[in-house]
Amino acid sequence: MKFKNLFRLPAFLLLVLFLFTLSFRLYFSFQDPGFSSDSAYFHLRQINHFLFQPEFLFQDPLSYGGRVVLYPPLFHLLMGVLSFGSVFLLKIIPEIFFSFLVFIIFLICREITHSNWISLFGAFISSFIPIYLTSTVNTLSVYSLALPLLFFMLYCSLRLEKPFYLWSFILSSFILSLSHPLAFLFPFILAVYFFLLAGGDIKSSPLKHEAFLFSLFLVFLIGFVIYKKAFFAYGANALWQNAPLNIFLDTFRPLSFFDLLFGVGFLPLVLGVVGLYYGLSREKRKIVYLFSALILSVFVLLFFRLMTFNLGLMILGITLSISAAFALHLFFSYLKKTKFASFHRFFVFLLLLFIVIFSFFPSYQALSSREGVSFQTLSDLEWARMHLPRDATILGNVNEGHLIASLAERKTVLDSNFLLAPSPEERLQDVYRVYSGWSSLQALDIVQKYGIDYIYLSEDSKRLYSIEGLKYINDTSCFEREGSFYAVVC
Amino acid sequence: MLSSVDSWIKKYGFFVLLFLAVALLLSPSAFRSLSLWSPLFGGESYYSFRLAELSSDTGLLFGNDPLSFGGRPYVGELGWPYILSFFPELLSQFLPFILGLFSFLLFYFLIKKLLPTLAEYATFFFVVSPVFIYLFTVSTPHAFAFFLLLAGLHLALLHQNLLAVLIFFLISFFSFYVSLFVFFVYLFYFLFKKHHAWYSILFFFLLLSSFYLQFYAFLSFDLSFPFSFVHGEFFNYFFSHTFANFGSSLGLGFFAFLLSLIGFYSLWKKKFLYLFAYAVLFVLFVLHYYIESLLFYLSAVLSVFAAYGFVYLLQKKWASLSLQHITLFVIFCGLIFTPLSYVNELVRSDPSPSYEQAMLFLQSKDSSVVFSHFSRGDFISSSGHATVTDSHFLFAPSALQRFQDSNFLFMTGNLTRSSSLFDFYNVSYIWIDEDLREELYNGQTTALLSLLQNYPQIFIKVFDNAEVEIWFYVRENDI
Repeated sequence: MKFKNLFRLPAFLLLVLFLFTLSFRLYFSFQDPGFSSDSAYFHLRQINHFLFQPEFLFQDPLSYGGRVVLYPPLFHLLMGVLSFGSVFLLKIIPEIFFSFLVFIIFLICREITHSNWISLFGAFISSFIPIYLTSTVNTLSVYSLALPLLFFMLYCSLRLEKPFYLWSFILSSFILSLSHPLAFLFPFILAVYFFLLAGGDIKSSPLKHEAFLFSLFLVFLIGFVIYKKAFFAYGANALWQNAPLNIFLDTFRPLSFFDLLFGVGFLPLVLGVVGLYYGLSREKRKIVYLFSALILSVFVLLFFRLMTFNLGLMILGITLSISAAFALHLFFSYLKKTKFASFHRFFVFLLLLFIVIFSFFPSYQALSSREGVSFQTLSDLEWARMHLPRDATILGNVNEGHLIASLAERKTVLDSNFLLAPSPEERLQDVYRVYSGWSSLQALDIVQKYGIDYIYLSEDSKRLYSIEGLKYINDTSCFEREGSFYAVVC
Repeated sequence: MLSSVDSWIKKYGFFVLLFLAVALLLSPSAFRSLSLWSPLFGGESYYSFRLAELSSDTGLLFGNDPLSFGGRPYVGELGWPYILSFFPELLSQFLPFILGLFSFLLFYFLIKKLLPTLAEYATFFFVVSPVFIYLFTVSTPHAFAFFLLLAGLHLALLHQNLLAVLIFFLISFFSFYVSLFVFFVYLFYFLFKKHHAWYSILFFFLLLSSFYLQFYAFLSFDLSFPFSFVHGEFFNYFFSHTFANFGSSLGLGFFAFLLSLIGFYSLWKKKFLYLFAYAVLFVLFVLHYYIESLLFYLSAVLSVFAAYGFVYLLQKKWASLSLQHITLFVIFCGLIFTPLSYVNELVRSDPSPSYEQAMLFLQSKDSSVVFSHFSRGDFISSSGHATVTDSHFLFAPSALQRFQDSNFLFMTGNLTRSSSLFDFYNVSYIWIDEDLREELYNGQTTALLSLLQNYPQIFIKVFDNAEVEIWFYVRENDI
């Protein structure tokens, strides 16, 4: 896009859309005093460790009482360099990255529709997908880098003939591979794309073949280097991250129609499906095949439980928005040929109204009703950091592990990073027994087993285990209450 | 530029490859001896060493293995123990390396003869494959079988068919499955070519005699033939079993595999020309799931296809030169990373010094039965004690029953039933190590571990170091 074009109306509106999306995200980000998810604190700790040590935290002394952590390091490096560890900046920077997706989706839609206006609608729809917002706002998520990069790579792969896009594609491939296992998705998409093209008797460009080969070898090379230990420990099962069964069934659950409807939203779903149908069956355009391949790949991976449910739904939502733009393009092109052509503005207004009703409003509702990490939890853990012994082990529920390690800076029994974690299934059950059990003897056994010094009973744990308090607390003198913590004294 | 690289490869490629092969084959032993670990790698090496000593003591047809599965008729190939029996310790350490060098030479000159332009590339893929490193570092009969196969192929190429058939027949003394496979390939090849059919008949009768000589016990006893009850779930087992990058102890390199797929793609237009090779490859690929040793041969054939793939990528007119250079660089890094990471794993393979201490402790005791996981069986039997189960299930007496009983013993907390099984199998010692604690019990003290801890009058800990604990089982009558 040339600089002078910036002052044209669509470009200006695109900038407005970007600022609006960013403001919307930041508004909800700053509603919470901290981050909204436990995993954000994992990243925060990694970033701080990198800044202060400066090395990556591959041997974590606090998580699971001490264990090896495998995680692609680039996101932490980048965030560390850009934020200098400031929580304020760490709240803003990922939201800016996420909001950049608006530009990328706009460019992709323009490639498909050749219409700036329709592309603006596509970008608008993609910014307000309920599951995408609830999963990513204020979470210091690695997806802030990975998702825009994935779509940018797809966009670049459409224009590989130009050196700028070729080099951008190469660079993005490296960055994505070093940031998140989502990189494995890209060669898979291209493989499905070639398959679909072959089915449609369409020839793909040699450059795409080359891009496919390059990304295939690159993601496996970097994947094998980073996850070598995990592959040796679990074999191909490393794909499921060693998650305990009940968490695996939840995280990798298959998709249902209602998940799609509520996660993606009515508008992108309906328009997206229509766009896909026409793109594949009537128009037979390569670019539509590419995004169909993306949708099909995600469906396949979700079906075989090779991709987490939330991530799959987010990618589906964004891709369906692109496809929705294509459907809108077809609709408005058709409208021009009908007697309703003069009602063009009315339909645009109607579309905007639909976007507000079916995308913006549900997203707003979903974000408003979302519960992040409470102020009470933050202050409890701050208190723990100040008052509890430095070598203490604190028991929290599985969603509090990273919080305890990051904010209280104390050892934990378990957290949600299961890859290479020692016996997570067993620990998950033991933690459940401590919180929900009736027997003080059983609880003391578990306390002894993991060397637990404090049990943290948060409101979140009460909700999670449907309890008012620890049931055995009055049967024994081994526990002494200190605020929300129970100290083990015998 | 490509032509200058090509001429350099033609000129120096062989020597570079020879150096690479020597370095890759010697580095695991070198690193291991620097850390004062045992010069033998893994249970298989110990098993071969023990059989060699047995052969040295009792002669070629030793007939009985007194330690495996509590004592069993020995049914298996006799060639490797016999060869090692001349100098068991020395040959166990150095013969695989020597065979590796000879196999390298044979492979190189074989490909040079068949596909001159591909020789350096195919040999490179063969040498950097984890299978090559495993095959010629760990003392197993497959090293000799592989070497013989290459020698036989050379003779066949020189039209010395009788000699070739004799060499192929010799393979049956090192790996009967492989010789059987070679026989079928040979048979179909000559059916295909419609000449020299009588060599196949000769081969068949030679194999039959070899089978009778080595496996007569199988014919005379009611021995089980279990194939797959220790296999895991298909998806994970397939990947972890086939590819070294996914944790297989003797798998293919994933990058070479991807390149071989590109090789197939590049040859697809000439598909009927290579129909026979494809058929062999397909059968090898299917059968390796059941017969692990076929992976060595699969790797060798895939190396040739990987070379095709690599040369295709090298010579293909790329739309973007930058992408070509970066892709080839990434492939090269991947090809180098695989053997390096594999050597690293091999160096740390069992037995560790802690295992060796435990084995020395067992050696100091009178021969008895030691109970442990089947994967520890070879270390236990090398210490002069019998096992309840080990990893040699094939033709073992009541293998399935013993396997199930072992699993039961590991998982039960019932003292009465455990004791009756320990008594039944005449167990005196129990071997528990850190890996078993983690793999079987997730680090918890349950089942057998709780029995060991809670009944000190029945289970007495007699050995303990950083990794291994050995418990003495006191029979009820002795209390």
